Amino acid sequence: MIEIKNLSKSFGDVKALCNLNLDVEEGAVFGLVGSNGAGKSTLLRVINGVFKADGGETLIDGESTFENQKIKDKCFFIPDYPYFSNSSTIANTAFFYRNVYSGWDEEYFNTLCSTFPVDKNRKIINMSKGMQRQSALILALSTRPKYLFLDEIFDGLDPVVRKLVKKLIITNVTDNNMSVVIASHNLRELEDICDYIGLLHKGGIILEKELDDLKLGIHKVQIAFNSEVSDDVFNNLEIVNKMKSGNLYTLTIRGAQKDFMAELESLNPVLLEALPLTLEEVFINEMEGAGYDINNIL
Amino acid sequence: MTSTTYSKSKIKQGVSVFLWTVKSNLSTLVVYLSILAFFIIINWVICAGTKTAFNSNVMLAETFLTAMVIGLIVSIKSFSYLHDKRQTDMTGALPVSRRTLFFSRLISSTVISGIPMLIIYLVINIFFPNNQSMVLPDNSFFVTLNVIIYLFSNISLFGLLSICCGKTSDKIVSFIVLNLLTPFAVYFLTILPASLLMGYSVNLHPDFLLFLSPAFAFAGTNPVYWVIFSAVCLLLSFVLIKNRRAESADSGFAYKLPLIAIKVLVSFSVGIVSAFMFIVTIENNNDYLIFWSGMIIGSLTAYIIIQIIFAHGFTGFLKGLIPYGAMLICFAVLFSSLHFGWFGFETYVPDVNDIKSVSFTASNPIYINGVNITAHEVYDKKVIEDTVKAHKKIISIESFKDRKMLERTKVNYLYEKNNESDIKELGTDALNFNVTYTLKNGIKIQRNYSNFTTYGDASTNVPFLQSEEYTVNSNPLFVCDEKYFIFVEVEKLEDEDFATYGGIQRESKTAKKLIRTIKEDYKKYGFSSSSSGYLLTFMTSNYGEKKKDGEVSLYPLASVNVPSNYSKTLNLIKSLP
Repeated sequence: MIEIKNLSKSFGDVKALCNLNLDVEEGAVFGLVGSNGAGKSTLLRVINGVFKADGGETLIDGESTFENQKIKDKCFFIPDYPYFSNSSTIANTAFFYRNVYSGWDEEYFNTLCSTFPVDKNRKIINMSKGMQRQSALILALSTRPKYLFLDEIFDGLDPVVRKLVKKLIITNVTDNNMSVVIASHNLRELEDICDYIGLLHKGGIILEKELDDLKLGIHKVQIAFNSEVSDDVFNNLEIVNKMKSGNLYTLTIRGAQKDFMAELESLNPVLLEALPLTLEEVFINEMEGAGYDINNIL
Repeated sequence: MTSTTYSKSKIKQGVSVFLWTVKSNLSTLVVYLSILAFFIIINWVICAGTKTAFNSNVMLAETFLTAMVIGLIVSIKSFSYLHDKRQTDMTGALPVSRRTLFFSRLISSTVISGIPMLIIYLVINIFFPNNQSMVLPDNSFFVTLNVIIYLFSNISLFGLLSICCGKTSDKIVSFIVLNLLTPFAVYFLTILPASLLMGYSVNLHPDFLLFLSPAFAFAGTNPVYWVIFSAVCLLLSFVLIKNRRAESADSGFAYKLPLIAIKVLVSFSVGIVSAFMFIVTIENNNDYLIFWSGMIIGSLTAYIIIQIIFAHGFTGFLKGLIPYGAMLICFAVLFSSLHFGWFGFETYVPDVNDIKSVSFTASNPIYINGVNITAHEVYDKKVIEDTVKAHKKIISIESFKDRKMLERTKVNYLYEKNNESDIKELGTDALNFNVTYTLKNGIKIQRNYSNFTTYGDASTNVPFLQSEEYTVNSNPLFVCDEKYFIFVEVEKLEDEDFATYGGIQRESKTAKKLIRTIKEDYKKYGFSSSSSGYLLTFMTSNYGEKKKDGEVSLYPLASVNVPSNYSKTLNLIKSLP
């Protein structure tokens, strides 16, 4: 389990993380979203012991991560721009990781090398951005991490590889109880894979919820009437957002779908349809509901 | 799936990092070995062609310089993980401690740059044994080992600077600055009191400045010192690496203190050098104004430049001037304390009743194997009283007190530290008054006043300086044990021009014989200013030992412009073959 308590980190006068609290359960996939400069990458670096926190604690399995080789051995961090030296190939980097990570799985490494369309003996720096990320992921997963930290991992991946990556992550989570923290701007990608979502803004988590709760608690409904109706007919519902086009209303409603659908049926509409909400829409509604100007956050 | 129980030892991880670093530097290693092989071939071709013996010193110098360059290149690469954000992310997240990572890389840098030297040593000894054209001295292994020690001390310093700096360029600038400017700063800081205080003199060890610059260590300083130096660097690295702010990669310094220290060092060194240059080159009655103009112009220019280099622009420029201001204030306080005599150094003369003995020395005491060969004690009460009187007289001479800054120094340090200016000539007017008091409580007080003849008539002002007690006791010829005079140079004056002397060098036996006859003639005739035209310069060896190759480093100790009435001495000179 990852526990972050009152974590603070500053760079000179800039406060990157400010009294941040967060828990990530074992076997969970946690999506970390936020605008540029929100502190996502900094948080991942502090958790992985790259940066030392100015204040607070970062615990993995109850132990501090900074300069803790035992804990770091269970983790793998792929930053937004993974580093490879001029002479690095997947094969020779694997040689190094094999001797450094106790969980290195040679068989799995070979499987991954044949799964991804990359040449393990080719210099990584000569590969495309997407191929470099695939290389990093092959090496990361081969260490059989208990905790995997990914920063903008989907950036530069083609749709097929993106799907493959998601599948591999889910397989590892299911089979090995791996916990994953993914930082990304791309809510659509996170939607497919994450169990939990945390929204980071100005160095603090302003929203942290299970994805299902987020999605189940809010819905989009299209409803049309034969004739014009008064806006007051929706007064019994918790309307988050309402758009009107003639006699067609698009409503974003908070609450249990069963309850509000029954209420709307009673108004005898000619059309009543519940539409799926994208994660982005859920976020926008949640944040606006909380009084944030979402356009400045996401 | 394999076990995820943590089982990698630090040693195993260190070895992995070591091998990884070596592997990533393989191309550099091949280039390095090729260069060394090229040097061997070139030297062998020259030796074979000219049928001369192989000069191991040339080979070692070439090897060392190559090793230094390669060592620094490898170190830059090895420690670049501290200065590159992407590498920092990768290495920082590894399950390898910062210390293991750092020291593994430091060792690999040393091995990569040092081991080829040992390989070359073995190649030379195996393929060119001593009976061939290539000959290495017996101690070549130890010379090679010493060079590796010097190399290690440089890499250790480089490693330490890598920890302190955020950027590779800052690290390189800091390394160059420390090596080049530290000796300057310390040297000029050492001679400053001699320029401001009457009676103060400095006597630096010949290797003193080399100890401040590891890049020049191979020039002959003690390897034991560099082992200690490396140990200190490693200890500091051990302490600092653990809590180094990784986010300083690609930005400013990780630790502020070294940044401030280097900026202050640069501004101070350039400032004090330009201050002394100003008073040497600008003719002005106000030495102090000229000195401070030079100090401020030089130091401020240097500070602005180094500040811009380290900040990569004008960010925090004004705030960055605070250490400069502090340095200038500290230096002003030091300067004032010396100039205004806050500690009473210039006016203090011990009370006669407190003095146990006095000794007069050549201006700089001469040490051989750690022994001051010019040291001797005079316990005579009258001599002590006369000495104190003379001392008081000297510090009261107005013209002497008003001397310019540089003239107060015994030797013009800016141009040369010429040992010959310290030679005591027999029978000439006293130029110097160099006295050491040994007080009854055991404390020794030393004062050195020089160049009196330029400032009034010494014999009128301070008659003691013309006395036999002083002249004899201050002359190494009479004071030093004759065993130290291992050489004498006999020169004949032609046309009153000392420059046209044709010297004849004589071995120890002749030197001792000449000293004895001079002393006999002195007893018989006393001093005389009549010159016979013969100048004898008695010399000793710098370190009192002959080198293995039979050469000695000569050091002039005393000279005699033989008076025309010293008949016995003149007869001996003329009888020399």
